Parts: sequence; C-alpha cells; structure tokens
Amino acid sequence: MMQRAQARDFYRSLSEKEKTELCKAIAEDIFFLEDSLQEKILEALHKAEPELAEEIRKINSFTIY
Amino acid sequence: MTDFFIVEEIQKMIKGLPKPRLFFKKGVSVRGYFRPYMSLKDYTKAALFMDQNEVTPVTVRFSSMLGDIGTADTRRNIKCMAVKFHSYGEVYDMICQNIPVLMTNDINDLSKATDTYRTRAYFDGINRKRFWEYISDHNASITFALMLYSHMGLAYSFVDINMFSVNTYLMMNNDRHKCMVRFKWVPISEKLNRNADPDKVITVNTAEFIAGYDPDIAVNEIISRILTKRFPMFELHVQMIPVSKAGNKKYTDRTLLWSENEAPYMCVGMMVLDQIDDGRIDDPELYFLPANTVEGIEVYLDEMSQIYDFLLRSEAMERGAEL
Repeated sequence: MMQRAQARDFYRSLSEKEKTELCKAIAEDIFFLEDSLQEKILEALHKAEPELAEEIRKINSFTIY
Repeated sequence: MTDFFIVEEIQKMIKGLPKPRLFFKKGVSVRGYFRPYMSLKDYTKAALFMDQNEVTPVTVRFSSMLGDIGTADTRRNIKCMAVKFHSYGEVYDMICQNIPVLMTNDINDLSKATDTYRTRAYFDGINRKRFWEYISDHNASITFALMLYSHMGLAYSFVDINMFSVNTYLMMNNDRHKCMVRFKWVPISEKLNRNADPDKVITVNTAEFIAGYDPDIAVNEIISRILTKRFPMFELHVQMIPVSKAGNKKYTDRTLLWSENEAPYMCVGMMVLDQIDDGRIDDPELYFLPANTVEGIEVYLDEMSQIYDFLLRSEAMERGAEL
C-alpha cells in the first residue's frame, strides 16, 4: 500500500533523535489504552515500519516489582 | 432604581459576542504581498502569476486547528496558513497546513475522522482512544499520524515551518491546456528550519514547558517580527502533474504525497508579511473558501473538496459572513 511506503520513507528520513521522540510520543499516547487496542495499533504500525513498532513496544514494556 | 443605561450596555456586550469558529479558533491575521519570480503564462492565465514586476496584496491568517483561543501553541496540533490573494477584484483563497497529507480522502470516513478530535466538544483536542482506533482501522491515515506525532505536530512557530496546500488545483493557460498543481510555502529565514539541527528537535517535555511559560509563543512571534520589521517571508514552490493523469488515484488521493522525482518542486515566487491586519490580532469575520479561485486556477473537484468548501461556507455564514 502506497501510504505505508510513504510512512516508512518519512520515518527513515528522520534523524535518530527525531525517531526517538516520535516513538516516545506514540508510546506515551497509547500507554493507557486497552491492551487489545495497543496490540492492534502496533500491528498497524508494524506493517508500515517494523522498527517503529518494536521501539514503541520496548518503551511500553516494563515491569514494576 | 435600575440604571437602564448600564443594562443596555450589558445587553450590547452580550449580543456583540462573536460566534466562535468550528475549528482553527486561535489565530492571527496579517497582511502583505506576493510577487512571482517569473511569468508562469505557460501554465496559467492567473494574473497573480503573470508578471514578475507586479505584486498582489495578500491577507493571511495563521491558526491552530484544535483547541480554543486559550490553547497553548505548542500543544500537539495542525498549524494552518490560509492565504487570500486579492487579484484585480478577484479573490483566491489558498488554504495550507503544515502536514502535507490529509487524514482521509474518503468523505464516508469524515464523521469518524472528525470524531477523533472531540474530547468534550468538536475540535477541542485529540481523543487518544478514538484517534488510534481510527488509525489502526484506516491504513491510508498512517503517514498523517506519524507526521502529527513527530516534531511537525509540536511546531512552535507559524513562520519557521513549511506549509502545504490542502487542496490540489488545476492551472489553465490561454491555450486551455491544464495541469494539476500542489503548492508548498518554504520560510525564508536565517535558520531555515528549526528542526534541521537534530540536536534542536523539540521534545514533548520542551513543548510542555513552553506551553506553561509562553502559551502564545507562535502568535507572539509573528506580531513581534512584524512590529520589529523582521518581516516573515515565504517562497512559493509548485509541483505539477499533467492533467491526463487525473484518473489515477495516486495523484488525486490527498493521503498520498507526490514524488519529488516525478514532480520536482519549482520555486515561483515570494510572499512578505509586513502588516498586522488593521491593528487587530485576529479578524473574526475573515473566512477562506476552497472554491474562491481566480481565472486560470480552479480547485480539483472531487467529493472531499466539495464537502470541505460546504463546511467552511456554512461555518462562515453561521458566523455572520455575507456570501
């Protein structure tokens, strides 16, 4: 799908810091949503850019002991 | 004894309250002029692009799509620059925003899409749940979402960022030859793009700090630059695609960018903004309609552009505009 390709191109055109801030912004925004919706969002983002989805998943995955 | 004079004054104050805009509530309107760098008569017979020795007066309104007039400029938002060219008695309204793609090109999705910007009232902010549900259900919106959540969504200046025409247009020359065009305004400044230096990327924390410290930073910057004669300036760039390709959704779908390899940008003119509009920060009666075009330029007509024109027209009439 062309939109996914353009989204991927946009993400890859960002600097490392800009990529980090984008991942953090989306991760914070979806953090308190239902787990099923978060999974659905990450799947959609994964289809555009796997690195983006994995980074967001990493940011939001932590365990408080 | 009741002072009827005071009562009458109070009634006038209440009756005179302007009806707020549906969206793009917070803004600042300024005036200036546009001058083309060369004649575009090969592409259009529009007077404003004919002669590089002539200037066209413009009225420009900068605004943020979401929130009311008290909303901080660094809140995640879509920044708009609506340009009204006053050309020989005609008016050409070019509505632009800082994100080059739209959230949807399908009017059947319009209701769901606008619902993503409703927390308590329409267009008061991003409703996270609805927004991300929409994005995950509509792959066509993915580029828009990434751009909105990048530094582009946290722009803290109106005049130091690129602006892109919301609509696709058709230019027609004297030989009745047409082409499809999209516009981009690029700011002329010492620092071309605040975010060009990766170390100076605005972060969410910085945006939140600025929101508390100076919530009107973008509006104040325009006013300060005009008053201190450091006039905001933009160059106008144009992409062109032959109208024979209009049947291909790749060129008419506004969730898609035009490739710069296929349609390279051509720099065609410059706009200088040098006056605050009539001394007021914002003109509540100012409105912009996609269908306001001049001879030689027309909006590429599809369902979305027709609905968008209807929406802005109805909203302007509701606010008392005489159309």
